[in-house]
Amino acid sequence: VVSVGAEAHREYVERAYRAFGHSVLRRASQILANEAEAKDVLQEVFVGLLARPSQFQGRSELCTYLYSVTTHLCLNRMRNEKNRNRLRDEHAAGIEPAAASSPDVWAELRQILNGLSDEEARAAVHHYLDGMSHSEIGVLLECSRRRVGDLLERTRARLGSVKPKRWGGVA
Amino acid sequence: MTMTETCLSDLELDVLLAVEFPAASEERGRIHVAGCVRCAARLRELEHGRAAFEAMELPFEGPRSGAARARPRRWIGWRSLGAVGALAAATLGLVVVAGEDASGWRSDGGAPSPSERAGETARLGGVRLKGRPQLALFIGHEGHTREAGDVEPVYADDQLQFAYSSADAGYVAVLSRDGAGLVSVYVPSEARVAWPAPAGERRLLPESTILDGTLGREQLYALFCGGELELAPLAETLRERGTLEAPENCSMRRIELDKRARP
Repeated sequence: VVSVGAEAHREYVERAYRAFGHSVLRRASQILANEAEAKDVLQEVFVGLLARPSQFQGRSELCTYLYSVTTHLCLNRMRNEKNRNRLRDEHAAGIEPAAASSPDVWAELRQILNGLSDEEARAAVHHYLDGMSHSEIGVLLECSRRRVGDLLERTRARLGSVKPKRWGGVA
Repeated sequence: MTMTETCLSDLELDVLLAVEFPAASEERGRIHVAGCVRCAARLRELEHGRAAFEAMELPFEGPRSGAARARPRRWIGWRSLGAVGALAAATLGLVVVAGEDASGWRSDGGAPSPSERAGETARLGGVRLKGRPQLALFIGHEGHTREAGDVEPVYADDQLQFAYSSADAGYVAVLSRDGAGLVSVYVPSEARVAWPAPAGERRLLPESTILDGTLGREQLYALFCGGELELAPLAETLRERGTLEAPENCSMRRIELDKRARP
């Protein structure tokens, strides 16, 4: 971890915004299905990065952090009562999933995310939306692969008959 | 296109795209993408997404100024402060009481009386005030208070309290540009225009500030103006130019805080 001056840190955050802003916005749009809210999350994520006094080691560590905090902020918003009601009413209409992902699965997942624990919801987002492996999710959630497997198993149970698959068709 | 166990996740593909930052190792990812139709296609999609994002010209706004943004500093009214202001007075051997106070700092921060607002010359403690308005800053640090010079070392959670002396009523505002380049209006924190200040000697402003943890050089601009002063244009000028000149009909004091990490 390298500490930097305030001006240098601001430049670092702006560089991170150029490099990863598209990724944050894409994922926030997918999770929230609301472009305006996704843009708010985009700003919130990088304002949060501005407030962090340190830099990350390389792009992988930074990207991992941004994935994690984006998921966290989006899930928080989804737990907001207003958003819950809106999602229920809209029944996932208008969502524009990544071309490679399964829209049916993601629409179903969004319906049940609010009924999951925070840990389960984060695991579900990273698995079904981001296509991450159990190892990658374990890094983000700071838990073991086995724990990730358990979390996803619970999610599958909540989904019931939907039987979600990861995008690309591999379970 | 079928995903295999060795296929890259979106996170790994996003990492490949972020060439602005150094990567410890991306060779495995590049090799895989070169030989994987699915991952190559997904990488192209993400590249298009990045290009679309750049075309949107959606800038990083940074923290918003004023009431709209999540305020990194805690603002406290003078009546509930009871700390730096009282310490400021104690430091100077003064007695702080609410209301008219001919001998010390006035602590009520209330609206000026009609006679004060009329701009009549103030007579306090038998001393006729002359000259330009004077602005002073007191800094509270771990139970001790000192008057600030033009450059002051400070720490997170230090308390700031401005005071002024003026023969005439006017309008007071304190603006800040912190080490991260963020502009804030310290006093008044929730108003459109500068605070209407009654004439008087050694009067404390109605709000104090507790500093947040943003380190670096922070510039404070304390203004005492003869007429009403809109704050938004001032904040915008400070944001754009990084500095502030005294507006017409205003006295200004500039103080530089060197905000350091707590030992």
